[in-house]
Amino acid sequence: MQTQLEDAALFAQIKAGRHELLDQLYLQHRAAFVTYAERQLYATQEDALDCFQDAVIAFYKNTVSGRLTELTCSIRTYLFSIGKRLIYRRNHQRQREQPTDHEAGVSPADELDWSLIDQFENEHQRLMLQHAMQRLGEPCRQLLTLYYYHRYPIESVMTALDLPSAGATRIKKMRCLKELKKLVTP
Amino acid sequence: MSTQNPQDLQEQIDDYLQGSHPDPAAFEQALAQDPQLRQEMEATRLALAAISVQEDYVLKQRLRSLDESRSVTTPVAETQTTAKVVPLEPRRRRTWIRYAAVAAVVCLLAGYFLLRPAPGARLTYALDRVAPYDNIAYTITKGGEPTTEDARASAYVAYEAGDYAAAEAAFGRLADSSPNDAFYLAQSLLAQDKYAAAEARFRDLSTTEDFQLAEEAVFYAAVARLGLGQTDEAVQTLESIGQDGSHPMHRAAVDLLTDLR
Repeated sequence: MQTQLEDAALFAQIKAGRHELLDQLYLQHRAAFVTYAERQLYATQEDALDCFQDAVIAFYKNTVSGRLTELTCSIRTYLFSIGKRLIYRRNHQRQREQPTDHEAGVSPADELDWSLIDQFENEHQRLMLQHAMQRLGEPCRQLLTLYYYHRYPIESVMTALDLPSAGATRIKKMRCLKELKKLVTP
Repeated sequence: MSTQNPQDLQEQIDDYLQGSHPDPAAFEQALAQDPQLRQEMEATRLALAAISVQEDYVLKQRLRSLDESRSVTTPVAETQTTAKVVPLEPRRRRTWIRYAAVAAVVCLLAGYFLLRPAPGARLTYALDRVAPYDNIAYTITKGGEPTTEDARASAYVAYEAGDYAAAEAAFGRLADSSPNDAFYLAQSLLAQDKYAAAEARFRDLSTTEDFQLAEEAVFYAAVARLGLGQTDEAVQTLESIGQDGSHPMHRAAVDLLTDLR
């Protein structure tokens, strides 16, 4: 049984950067979410899976960014809450309706930075940014991802990438970021 | 441009963009006065967006691959793709299958018209079609050592198994009942046609602060009112939900109203 204690332990491990545990989280709750979304939200299986993947990613980003500091409900409730709202959005987009106020009411998904999600619905811009990352060399891509996305402290980046010192890691991070900035600015 | 060294300046930009700057107002003031700083910040914003977009994509692919690895390759699928398909029945028999299918459709249609609910029975028919809300609040996993959560788990196990009497009893015994537990207790009562008890609980939950399923509780309170014969009040609530496209029970309310008419 997924108790509050187990949830808290899993949350602490994910917060500490163990993002591989997301796989376990996804597999544990995926089937229940798909059933729920199909029955209660009239979602297709494909949409349900897609939205649940996004919910897991959003949960992770909120956790490592510090936006979600403590669990006020179970991880399952949190994931379902985000997934549910993503399905509403998709249903509304399908019906070509005006976007509704998805932030209405209090929800665990309220810590979500919806602006980030909205921002990259522009497919062209998303592809341009992705292309820039792919042009960056692998060492730089790894370093920047660990530091900025997974929010590793500089010492952890140093250890993970086997760099000689924290100072050297900072300098390398500056160089890599400078290179990426060149690639993303017109 | 500021006289700070580039590394410190970059750290300030990073902190600002990641929402951890100690004095964002002062930084915004500096931004307003320094076009070069603004340019650096915009470039950083795009760079961080690129990192986020790319890693979101990588994570998403990883989660998708978990689905694929579990569903694509099965021995049956391999057999189906390579084996020659041999019809089980001689071709001429298919004509009879067609006749049988047509006869079945005719019987079904006739059965529908003969057995469809009479107008007076529509309410019962509509209520029967309202499914208990899926358990989204509690994860039940098989095995493991007994824990202090056993009482709660047994309530949800009974609920998921459709044993609503046992679920009602188990939820009722919980000493530290949460709003989620109360919601599923009310669902268990509703599933047993205990409308008055269910309605009172759903009504309380619909006004419980910070409760994630409060909107759902409004819908189910209306369903319970239907069961109590308070049709006008219930229909009024359902119509209001049916007009609100963003309500989580919008579709269910529309379907229920259709069944009632």
